[in-house]
Amino acid sequence: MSERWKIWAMLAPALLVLIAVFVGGLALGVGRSLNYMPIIGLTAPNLDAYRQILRMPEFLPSLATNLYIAVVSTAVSMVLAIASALLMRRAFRGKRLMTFLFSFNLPIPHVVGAIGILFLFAQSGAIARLAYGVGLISRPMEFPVLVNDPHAIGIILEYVWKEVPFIGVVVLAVLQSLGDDYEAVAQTLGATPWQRFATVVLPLIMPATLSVSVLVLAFTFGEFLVPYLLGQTYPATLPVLAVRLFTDPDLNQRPPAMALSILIALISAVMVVLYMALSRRVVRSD
Amino acid sequence: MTAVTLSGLTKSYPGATRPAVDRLDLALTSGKIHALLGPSGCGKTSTLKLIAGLLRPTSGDIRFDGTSVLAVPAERRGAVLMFQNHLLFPYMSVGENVGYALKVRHESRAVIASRVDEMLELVKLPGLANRRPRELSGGQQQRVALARALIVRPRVLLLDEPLSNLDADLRDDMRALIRAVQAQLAVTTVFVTHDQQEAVVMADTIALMSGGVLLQTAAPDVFYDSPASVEVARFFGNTNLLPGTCADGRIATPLGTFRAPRSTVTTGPAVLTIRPESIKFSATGQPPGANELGGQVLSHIYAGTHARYRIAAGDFHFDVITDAEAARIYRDGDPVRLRFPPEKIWLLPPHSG
Ligand SMILES: Nc1ncnc2c1ncn2[C@@H]1O[C@H](COP(=O)(O)OP(=O)(O)O)[C@@H](O)[C@H]1O
Ligand SMILES: [Mg+2]
Repeated sequence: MSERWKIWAMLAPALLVLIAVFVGGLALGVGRSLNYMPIIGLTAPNLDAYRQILRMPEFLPSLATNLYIAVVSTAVSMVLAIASALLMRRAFRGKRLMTFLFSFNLPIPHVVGAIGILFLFAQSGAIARLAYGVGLISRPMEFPVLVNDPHAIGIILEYVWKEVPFIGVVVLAVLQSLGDDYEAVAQTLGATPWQRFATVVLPLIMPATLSVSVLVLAFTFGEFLVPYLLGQTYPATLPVLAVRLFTDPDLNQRPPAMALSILIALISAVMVVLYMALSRRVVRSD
Repeated sequence: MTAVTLSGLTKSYPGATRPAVDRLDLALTSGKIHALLGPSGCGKTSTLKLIAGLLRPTSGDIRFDGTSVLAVPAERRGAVLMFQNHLLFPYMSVGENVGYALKVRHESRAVIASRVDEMLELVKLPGLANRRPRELSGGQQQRVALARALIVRPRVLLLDEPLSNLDADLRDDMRALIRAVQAQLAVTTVFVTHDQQEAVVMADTIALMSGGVLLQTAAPDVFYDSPASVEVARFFGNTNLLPGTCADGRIATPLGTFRAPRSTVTTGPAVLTIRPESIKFSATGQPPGANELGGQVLSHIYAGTHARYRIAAGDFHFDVITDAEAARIYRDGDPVRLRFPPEKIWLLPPHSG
């Protein structure tokens, strides 16, 4: 047996499990969403579950909320990440603290961040109590609604807190590998600080920034836990809606739950493709 | 046309034990090419960045045509920098790269387009405006970078080892092009290199630096005929050093007394230097005469156009470069007679480096 075959033979069990889980799981999910389950005698696939989802009055508002959260979180994170990376590549007071904060929150899971936001920003939270304590507001209820609110401020805050370091680390690495020489050349050619940022730094970091931010976009679109903890009840985001259907005691809700999950994946994929196409144009035309 | 004067120019980086540039005094005449020569790390790039305004000097002054430019930021100083790496903006076309300096000055599209064509013509790359930088060869990229640097007719052109990323044959072309373009525009140019050969070929004057300090500024031939110190002589390939004591146009050495009318020292301890290509040698026949001494071939290398010999005389070794023919005659171990022509000997103060 050649070396290569030996390697494949050793990998085979693990690969089989992987393929079974991914392809098998996906196939079962798609089948279920199409009401196709030969085991219990359903052999004629149909689109009933999808129709049911699209007819739900909550579907479009939920989709809108979802898109709003994903786009705003990604955009805000990207802007703040670029700003902090630009700050952090120069020596300044507090740089070490900022570097620490950056690397510190990378391994903290979202659920911890979400609970933190809940503790801090809810009307019964620490900041509201503090504001009430020092007399800034006369009742805790006067504290602005930042959690489970219609503008999803709490959710966006959580995503931004978590994703700024994620994008920022990538931007910083790119900035450091580029060095200062491009900007130095532009400067001696007469470019002002703003022109150097707009015509040199930004176009140079854009490809990497867009590639990493598309991950953030896809993640914030499909994430369940954060909007579940911090989101409003109506309209809930699509993943929250899907879980709600899935955990419904009525087993007839399973196919629409699967259908919605697959719709989320499809919308997410379309969004990623659009984003990539758009960002390629941005990068090229600059 | 701009004359550049550096006086007492010093740059200390934070945390460094000694300044990267140490009290540099340099007068760069207008419209000429001045080489800044020295080994890696001697402060050449720092000096260029100081002139460009990218670095703030720790002390000292920089004047363009007599006026201090320290308060003028780099973007308005008119000293354009070109690096070893072409650093063309990869997301712009060749034309956009060349026109960059006009774009940031808000020139009209028409003006930019015509000036870009003019510049591409000048660097012998007409019609390439719509290409992407990555589609060009290394030599072409470097020429585009030159066009980009010159489009606004800078007061000073600063070139930081612009040829060291190019292949040898491309390098010759690029040298010729830089010389031609520089002569045509008569822009005051500072050319940084660590290669003394390149400095000699390119520059009207050479400033030799070492460890942040200026060792000598002069026309290229002076570095061969009359270097200012042993260190300078060594840097320019003169490895033949013989210590002695001089008086009355003669120097007494452990190998005998030599007539040496050219000297920086009149009396006292001195070092005799003579370039490898200035030493003559012949077969031993009669005993050594005036300015001659006996020796023995230690080793030799045949190099096609010339031959390099290493010859022992007493406790000293001398490098000698002869025509290639000699390699047919003199073998390792052969006794030979060396002659130091008096007009080729140059006496230096001992131990300056
Ligand atoms: N940004 C910097 N910070 C600290 N030290 C530097 C910096 N740039 C250069 N140096 C130091 O200054 C000295 C001169 O560097 P440089 O001007 O780049 O020399 P050269 O161009 O002749 O190789 C070197 O010892 C180098 O390590
Ligand atoms: Mg350098």
